[in-house]
Amino acid sequence: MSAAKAPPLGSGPLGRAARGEVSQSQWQQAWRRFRRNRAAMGSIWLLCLIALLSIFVPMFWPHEIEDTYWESILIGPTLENWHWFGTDANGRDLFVRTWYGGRISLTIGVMTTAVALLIGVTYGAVAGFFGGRLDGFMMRFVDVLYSLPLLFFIIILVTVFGRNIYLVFLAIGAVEWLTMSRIVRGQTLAIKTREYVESAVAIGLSRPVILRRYIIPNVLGPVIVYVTLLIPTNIVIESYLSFLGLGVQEPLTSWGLLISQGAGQLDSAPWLIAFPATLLALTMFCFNFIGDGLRDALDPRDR
Amino acid sequence: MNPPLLSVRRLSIQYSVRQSGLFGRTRQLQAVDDVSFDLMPGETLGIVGETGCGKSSLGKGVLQLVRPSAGQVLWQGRDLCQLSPQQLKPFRKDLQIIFQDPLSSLNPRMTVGEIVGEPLELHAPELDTSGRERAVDAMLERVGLRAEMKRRYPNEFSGGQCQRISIARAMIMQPRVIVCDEPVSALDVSIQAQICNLLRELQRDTGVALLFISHDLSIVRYMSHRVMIMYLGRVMETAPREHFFGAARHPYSRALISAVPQPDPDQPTAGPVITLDGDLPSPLDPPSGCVFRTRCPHAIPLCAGQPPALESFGQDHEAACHRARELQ
Amino acid sequence: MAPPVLAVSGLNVRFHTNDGVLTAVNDLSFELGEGECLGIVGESGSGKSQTFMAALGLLADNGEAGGSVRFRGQEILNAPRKVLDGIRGNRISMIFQDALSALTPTMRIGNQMTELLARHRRLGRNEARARAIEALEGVRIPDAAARFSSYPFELSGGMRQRAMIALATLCGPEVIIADEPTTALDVTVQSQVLRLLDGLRQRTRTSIVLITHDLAVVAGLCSRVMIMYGGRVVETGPVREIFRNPRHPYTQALLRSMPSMTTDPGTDLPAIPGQPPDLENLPPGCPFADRCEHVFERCLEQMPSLVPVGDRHSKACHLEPGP
Repeated sequence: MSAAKAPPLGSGPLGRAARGEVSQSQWQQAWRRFRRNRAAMGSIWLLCLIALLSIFVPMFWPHEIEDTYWESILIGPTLENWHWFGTDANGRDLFVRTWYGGRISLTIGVMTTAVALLIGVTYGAVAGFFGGRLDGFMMRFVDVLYSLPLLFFIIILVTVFGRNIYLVFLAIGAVEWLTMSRIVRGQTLAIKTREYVESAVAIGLSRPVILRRYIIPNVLGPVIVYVTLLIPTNIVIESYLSFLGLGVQEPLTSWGLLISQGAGQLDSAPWLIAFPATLLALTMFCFNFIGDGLRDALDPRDR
Repeated sequence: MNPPLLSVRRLSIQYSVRQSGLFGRTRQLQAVDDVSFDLMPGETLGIVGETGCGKSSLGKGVLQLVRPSAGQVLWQGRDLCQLSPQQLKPFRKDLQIIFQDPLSSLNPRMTVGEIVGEPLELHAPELDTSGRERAVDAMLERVGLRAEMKRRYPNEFSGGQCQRISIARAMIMQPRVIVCDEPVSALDVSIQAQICNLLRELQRDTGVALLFISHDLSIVRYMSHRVMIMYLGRVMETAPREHFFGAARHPYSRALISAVPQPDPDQPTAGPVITLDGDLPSPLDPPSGCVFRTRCPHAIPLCAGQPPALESFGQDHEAACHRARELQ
Repeated sequence: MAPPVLAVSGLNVRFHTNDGVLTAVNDLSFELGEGECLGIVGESGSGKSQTFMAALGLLADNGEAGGSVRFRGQEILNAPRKVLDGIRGNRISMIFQDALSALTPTMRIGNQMTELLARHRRLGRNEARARAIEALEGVRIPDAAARFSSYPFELSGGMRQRAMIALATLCGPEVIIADEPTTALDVTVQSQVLRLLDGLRQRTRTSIVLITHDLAVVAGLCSRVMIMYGGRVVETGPVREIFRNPRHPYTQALLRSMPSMTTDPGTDLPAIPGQPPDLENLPPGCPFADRCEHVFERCLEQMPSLVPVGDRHSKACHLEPGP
């Protein structure tokens, strides 16, 4: 109430308990608010659709990703012979390759983010909660890793270990957890001074329990929002790694690889780039809308 | 006379403060300076002072939530300051705390039942789930909430109800001492009285001793048996309630009493207001001698030279002022 | 009688929240006379602050206000920004509880003051500077010339609050709205600030609205009080009448439940049972009904209107002739 344009008081809790409505945790309330956000809900449905198609199209489509059709090289989109998205310079069906690429891109997005999430949350929460010299040491280590250029790091990994898709997971995840750990550490520092953490110390809970029960559940809000933004970022990073020839290898494919191959024939065969690029863009939009929706839902005052 | 329940001896608490600027030095802030007191079983000691006088630090220092830099906290023959966090654990159930901000002192991701039952999980592992549930139900009813509220989350409750939940969590192990750190200042006027009454009732029933930290003298007068006045980390005066409000010795105590607004338009304060000039000096740079001298209407050169010691003015009544006798 | 400086009639303020519509102020009417000090007392959620936020067009984005607020006869409720900009900070100014967040943290105190003078008074630099330092001296800030170039965070709490009062009075406003001006301050500083406001009112005939949750603060400063509960005025009257002869059960209970320096610590405080009202789900009747000791059937069904019970003294309660 102190500053101008303050949000109104009592926008919520007062007396809901007294009114005898169904009890809701903060997560449940956030979900209720989220469901009212049409753009975000639409994005979820669209994203589910893209994911399902990515899983099932390669299973049931009449063509395989490696099948080459010498008689139909670089034909445009057609209903004939199930080449809905046309074919590429090797005569491979683009429809199945695009959805297969989606499978790889989404998996990379999710897996790399999971790696970043796991390492970043643990690392950041430990550094922030224990503080002091340990915090200083852990965060300087993060600073050192930050200063290594991503590409440089990945080129080293690839030259040492050879090219394979798991290396891509590892490489992207290993770089992206740095930002995550900084976010989590900042949140932890803020939550550490809350009185409920002091009250946990006062009843005699041990530090690991406080970390698990008091700190981590309360830092998850901003982390979830960041996750929805990290997944598309990681998809894009994989795309440019593939573009440079460091990512997914033929005959496997991903949206990034398809786009890089299509970019060379933009004039003669625009469909090569059009379909994967559209899907990539749609996925980006969806994740961003979901991220926005989650941010509003988790912190309704911060709009 | 009974032996005291808790004795605090010459307790000091320091914080390191990094000054801003490129070459900022780390300086020591003396939040609590050489404070001693005894707390009797079933007694309420009111600790009063303005912002930054160290009253909250003192409360947290007693519970070892902040580690004191010097002095002793004697509890059942042990000095709590010397114990490791592991060694402190069995003592935690006897010494509890209630905070000012009702909502931020409850973990928003836990249900009320989990919040109130958590201490039992730790300190009464012999209880099974249903035994714990029963204890939680009984405690919630005791603080004026309905047992079925235990499945709800803190954000569904109003400030007063949240403070009741905090009290339930603090009381469930039947502690001997509760530090109440401004427990009603964040509440609405009409709710403050409810919480004050509840604390007094619980004290009558269980004999728990309270360290009641507050800046509001009229509430302290209502709650406490004894009053301790702090200013810039030091004790200015300690006295039983009647003595304090009837015959305060320290000029700072008198100024505080005179400034309490009264809900009576013809007599807005209890007497002529003693105006204190200026503001609180920075605790990083406290005045020499008596810390209060820069705002004291009766300061003399002696006050700048030598810090006054606590002098006795009758039973349990002590004040730290060079001129307390002559000003009477 | 002179025409009122500020006349509010039938003011309603609502907020559209995720959980429904929240009524913050309900059918509020009052007048503020020239040089008068009106106290508005209520708990959090009673609508006391939102009333003036609405009047000055400072509601949060999800808020809407209806009714009428006339300042010197001119309608200002939902007035265009241009009109309000000429009034806010100039003819009506506000003092907030938390000076640290109400002052711009990255600007020197003096610059915030001269900027205001440049905008509303078109003063030159030197002249504005002289006026600002004069205002800082007026609120008894020691070494005002040096403080002129301080940042807000460099001042202590009491000093900041005084700097905000200096800022608020800079353009010689006709109305000052002080929203919990002393709540964040220590007792010894609180009385300094209250006295400063009172001196100002006597010197300049400025009308003051003092919004507070603390009845005791009102007692020392105001001539008339309005008690609000659940977005409505439940009782209004001269300050002495309200304290000596409160007529609404809420006012009576509130006065009884406050510990004072004369309360007997041996007895329990007569606390008001229950919780403050739920603004999203206000009852059709009196908002205080479920906590009232005199409640009867009609209270639950019908909102009582404000009726006079004495000289300039009214209450909104069905109980006749009154408890």
